[in-house]
Amino acid sequence: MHRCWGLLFAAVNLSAIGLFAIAPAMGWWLPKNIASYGADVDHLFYIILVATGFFFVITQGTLVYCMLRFNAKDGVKAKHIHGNTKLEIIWTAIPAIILLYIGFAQTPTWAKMKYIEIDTWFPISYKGTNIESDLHVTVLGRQWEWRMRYPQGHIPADPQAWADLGNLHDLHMVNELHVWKNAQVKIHLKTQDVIHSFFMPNLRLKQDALPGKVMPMVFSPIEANVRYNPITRILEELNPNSTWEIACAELCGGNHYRMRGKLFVHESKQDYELWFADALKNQRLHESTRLTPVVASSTGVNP
Amino acid sequence: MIVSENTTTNLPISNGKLAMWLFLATEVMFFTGLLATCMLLKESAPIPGAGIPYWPNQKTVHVEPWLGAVNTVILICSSLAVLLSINALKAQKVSSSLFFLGTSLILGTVFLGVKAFEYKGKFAHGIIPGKIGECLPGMSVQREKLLQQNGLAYVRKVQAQLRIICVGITNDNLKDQSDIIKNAYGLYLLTLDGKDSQNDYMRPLSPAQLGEKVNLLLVEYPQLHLPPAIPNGNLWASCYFALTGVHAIHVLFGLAFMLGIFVKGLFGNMQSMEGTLEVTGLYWHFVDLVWLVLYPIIYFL
Amino acid sequence: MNHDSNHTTETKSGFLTTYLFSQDHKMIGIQFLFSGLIFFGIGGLLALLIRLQLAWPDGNLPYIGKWFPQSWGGKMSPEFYTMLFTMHASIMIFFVIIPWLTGTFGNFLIPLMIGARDMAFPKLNMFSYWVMWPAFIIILASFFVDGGAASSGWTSYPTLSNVGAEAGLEKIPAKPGEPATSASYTVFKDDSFNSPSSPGAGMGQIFWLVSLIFVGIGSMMGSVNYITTILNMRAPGMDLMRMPLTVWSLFITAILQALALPVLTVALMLQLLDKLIATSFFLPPGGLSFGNWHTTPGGGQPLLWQHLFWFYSHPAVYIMILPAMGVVSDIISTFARKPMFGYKPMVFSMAAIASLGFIVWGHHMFQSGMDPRLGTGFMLATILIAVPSAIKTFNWLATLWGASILYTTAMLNALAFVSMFVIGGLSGIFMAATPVDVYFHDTYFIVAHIHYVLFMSSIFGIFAGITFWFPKMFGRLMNEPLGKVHFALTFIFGNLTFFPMHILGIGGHPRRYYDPTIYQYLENLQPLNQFMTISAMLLGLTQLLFVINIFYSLWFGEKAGKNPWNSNTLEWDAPSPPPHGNFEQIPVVQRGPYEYAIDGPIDHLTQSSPKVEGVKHHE
Ligand code: HEA
Ligand code: HEA
Ligand code: CUA
Ligand SMILES: [Cu+2]
Repeated sequence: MHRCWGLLFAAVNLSAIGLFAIAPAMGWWLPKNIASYGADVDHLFYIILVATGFFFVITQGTLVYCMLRFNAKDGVKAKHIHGNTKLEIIWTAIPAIILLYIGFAQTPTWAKMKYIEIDTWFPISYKGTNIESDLHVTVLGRQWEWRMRYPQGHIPADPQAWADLGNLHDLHMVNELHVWKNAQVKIHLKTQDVIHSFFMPNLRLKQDALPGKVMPMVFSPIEANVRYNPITRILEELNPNSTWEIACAELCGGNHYRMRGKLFVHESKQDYELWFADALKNQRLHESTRLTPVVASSTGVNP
Repeated sequence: MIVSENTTTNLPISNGKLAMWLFLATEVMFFTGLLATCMLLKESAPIPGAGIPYWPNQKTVHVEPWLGAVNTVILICSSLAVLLSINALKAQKVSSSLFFLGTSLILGTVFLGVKAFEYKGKFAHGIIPGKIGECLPGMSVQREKLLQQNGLAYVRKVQAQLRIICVGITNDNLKDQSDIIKNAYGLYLLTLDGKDSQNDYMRPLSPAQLGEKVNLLLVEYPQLHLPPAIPNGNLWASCYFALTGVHAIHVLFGLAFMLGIFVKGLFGNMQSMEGTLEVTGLYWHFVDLVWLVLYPIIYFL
Repeated sequence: MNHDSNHTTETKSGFLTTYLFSQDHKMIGIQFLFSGLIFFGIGGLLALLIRLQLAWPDGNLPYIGKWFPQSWGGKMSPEFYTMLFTMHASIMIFFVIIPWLTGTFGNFLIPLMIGARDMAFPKLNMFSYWVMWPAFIIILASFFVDGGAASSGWTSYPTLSNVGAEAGLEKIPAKPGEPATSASYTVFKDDSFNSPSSPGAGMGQIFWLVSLIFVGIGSMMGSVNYITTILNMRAPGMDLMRMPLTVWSLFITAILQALALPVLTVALMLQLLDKLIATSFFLPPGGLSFGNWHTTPGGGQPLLWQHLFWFYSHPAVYIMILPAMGVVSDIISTFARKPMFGYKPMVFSMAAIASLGFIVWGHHMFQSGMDPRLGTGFMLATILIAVPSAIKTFNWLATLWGASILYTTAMLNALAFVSMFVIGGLSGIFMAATPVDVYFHDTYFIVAHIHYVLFMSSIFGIFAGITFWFPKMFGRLMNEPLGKVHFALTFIFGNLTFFPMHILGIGGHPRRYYDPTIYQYLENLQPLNQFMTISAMLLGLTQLLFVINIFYSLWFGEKAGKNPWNSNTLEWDAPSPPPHGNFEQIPVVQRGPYEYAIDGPIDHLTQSSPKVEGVKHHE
């Protein structure tokens, strides 16, 4: 009877490990990575998975072993021990070293994602870097959609001012983010009402939009999922399962779950430009007929 | 170690005092949090157009440092009175203890009276959170006009005042008026929508633009008594009322405690109140101390 | 409950003074126990509604559908869903876990365990329970106010939570051909405190804020009382380093609470002012627009709320685990029949967790727009908290090593605490790592973490504690077989409910989603959601066993003697249940609390028993 409890604990812990083991095969795992730094992030995830997995096995294993082995038997007393300094030092030091390693291993990737540079050997000290972006986009969150604005020529003269005010000939879209493969993209993230969070799982990227602030977000996709067909004016998917979605990750009211956007990575800059020209033309057309500026939506894949 | 009934490692101070010290520790965290918030908001407040200070100075928000100074002195005296009251009680001088306690009560009440007087002034000048005309950067003209309830309320206020100043003035009789009226009328026109020289539609000034003009006009003609635009005024008022309000509530509680002791003392129970009085005194000194920190921050920064 | 025997010393005690306006620390602890139980039921039912929605997001719910207004189409609305998890978390945290851990255990155990007759301030103690009542009433009433209960998450981030329609502006359409003028806009004044951001952010949010302010006042009074009692009311010989770990944990928790809570009170107060008198602490300079609604520009900072909130709420998560750790330590040592391994390291590690807890709040804000450089500092501090946690874990395990374990219900729950806390703690490491947290933030990985540390750890600790001290509270033992069934099922269904959430999180499933199925990349995670819902229902049903066990044992439980578990600490010297004043004679403490497995004829030495000749043991 006493053994049952140890076995119950063992069973539960083994099923936990089991779930992690089968999850990737079931497709319950990290979505496809398309970010230049994404492999680093995934790598760090696995480092932590291994370290925590190790301690998981050790601690749960010891617990189950004790439960199976040291149940009360008549007449057998436990040992009267109050502690052991050497042991205490060991099990303080080993986790501490591993944890420090885990901690310091994060900093280069964090710097890469946030576009800051590590200043000295000590990773808390950073200096800002100025990267050359190939494409600027402003994303404005509102209840409950993302409004994207693209400049003509991709790079506005004064990005900051442009992010604030915009230009007459900007292209407006709702919920559709278009970039091209290997472009250095800079997003100026804003919101007009509450906090939203721009989450692109495939890019391993997430950033809150803060009312009253313009948040920078920088990334570079290393894979494409669409090609623009200028004749049919349709975005063609490159392969069947490459819909990349954008979600809102910060509670922003009832329809928080519905702020769903899509990420289109064009094959090349040329391809993007073909699409851009058509989309802008389309928008002008609408503007002239409808008087009010309309937000265009590109035709094609799952409108 | 051999332990007997008398071995104790408990602290050598009374429960009441210990608890009051602990309570004051929570109060320190409370006021630190509040003050830090206000200082941080001040430091990160948006900076309006060139030449305009980003934080209201005492003049524009009608804060009188001397009133605050008077209040500071009052509160210090009150604190001192409690101290004397405690000492008197310790020396078994009940009546003088009561006298000092009464003095402290009266001083505390006067403090609140002065505070009420100051608040009244704020209300009279419309310096109330959310009701102050601001001219802050970062808004396009349309957006600001569209967005600012208060801004518009401010525009209306200025408009109404200017209309009274300029009764009976038209474009025709404008020439004969004094400079001050000319300027006021010019500003009045700008608050309406009109036509420009090419006869195109011209939108009225936005609150921010108007605020800037009003402030400029006031430099030259303070006698116009227009409500100045106060950049970051709403934020200032928010902090001011939060800080002083919370402190006033603390004063109120202190007075209530002291009144309780005083009344009991009047009925001849003063001797038994020594511990309570001491603890209340501790609290009262703390309230005084908080004011000593708040005073320079509110009145001079 | 028949307690007449408890109050032999108190001659004129009527029903009201005994059960309602009691100043006796034991009765106050019991009051917290039962009010916590009621709220646990309410919070749990809200959780089950959450689960229902997640499993069948588009389906009209059978039976339950009828309760929803016709206008919602027989199902819950998205706004209602946001209200559900907001109130679920707020109730579970502020009305269940904290009252149970600090209210029940703190009140009931501190005087008994340190050998005092009562708290330092019995009347203050009574008030600290009674200010909970306005909080209870207000939070329950908030379900029925205009717009529904608070719905901005238990974190209540502005600007979702704090904009009031008070500052709204309504547009009157200009006549055709006429340009818009300032007269085209009228100030919209709405006295009902509606909010343009979400329905629950109006009156419901105000109720939420006020209710939490009351909880805060109660906790503050409680913690001042606890600290004073522990510092000043210990029995002779009860050195600080002889206190049971439960008392140590409650002591450290009280300090945490005393220092962190005021900051939450500031935050709550400022948000309340934002809503009521249009201050602009948490409103950004530029103003906001919600469709046709526009707010006043302020000069404030939405991010400031997050700093203030987490400055409290991160220490608060340790408030919600440390007492459970203490309780579990005592129970493990008792039923392992072995001294606690490393008493001093256990005390110091708790102190370390508590003090490090004050400098890590930023780990909730890595993506919030905070300076990324701060992120690194917060990350390192956060990761370091795992070191004292590791010390605790390994000391528990070392206590079990070579032990002589008795599998009572209380022990099983305590062992589950250790096992589950490791899982919950380890998932914290993923989130502490900044680059990895960019991905995991606000996904179900966090939800998994929350429930492993709060449900699977704290609640197991509470179950353990209640079972362990039930005989002391009521003089009767809880039913063991029923308790074991309850434990086993909770352990199994709890894991089945919450473990798959890790996988959901790895798949990128965002939290607080009413309907995840509209996302293509989440589609194949839906079966897991359904599986978890079924497990959660069973988990909920299982909790009824616990309730039944409590009420059954109150009247029919086996009568317990003074010391049914052969435990060492002072509360077992008092009769079960202890009378008013606790001890016939204040005990004199001779040694530490963990003298089990002593060489010689005796098995264990209680803290107050006199020295026995010829028995070697640790003084
Ligand atoms: C009782 C409650 C409790 C406890 C104890 C903890 C403990 C910890 N928490 Fe948790 N946390 C919450 C409750 C709690 N948390 C809640 C409610 C939230 C969500 C709030 C919200 O957004 O709604 C949250 C969110 C949260 C976040 C924010 C995530 C995000 O929103 O993006 C982070 C990030 O760092 C974090 C980290 C940690 C860490 C590192 C610990 C550590 O203290 C854990 C330490 C313990 C161990 C690590 C296990 C034992 C150690 C060993 C076996 C040694 C060996 C281990 C290694 C070497 C790795 N927690
Ligand atoms: C102590 C804290 C605690 C506890 C115990 C629980 C318990 C549970 N929680 Fe909770 N949860 C949180 C704290 C807690 N949770 C927090 C902090 C959040 C984040 C909220 C946010 O995002 O803002 C959250 C969010 C959260 C979510 C995510 C919602 C979302 O992001 O969309 C989910 C979803 O499954 C969930 C489920 C559950 C379930 C199934 C239980 C079950 O374990 C509940 C089981 C219990 C019962 C079913 C009750 C038992 C019945 C009785 C005892 C009988 C009645 C009694 C009497 C009549 C006297 N919780
Ligand atoms: Cu936008 Cu959530
Ligand atoms: Cu935290």
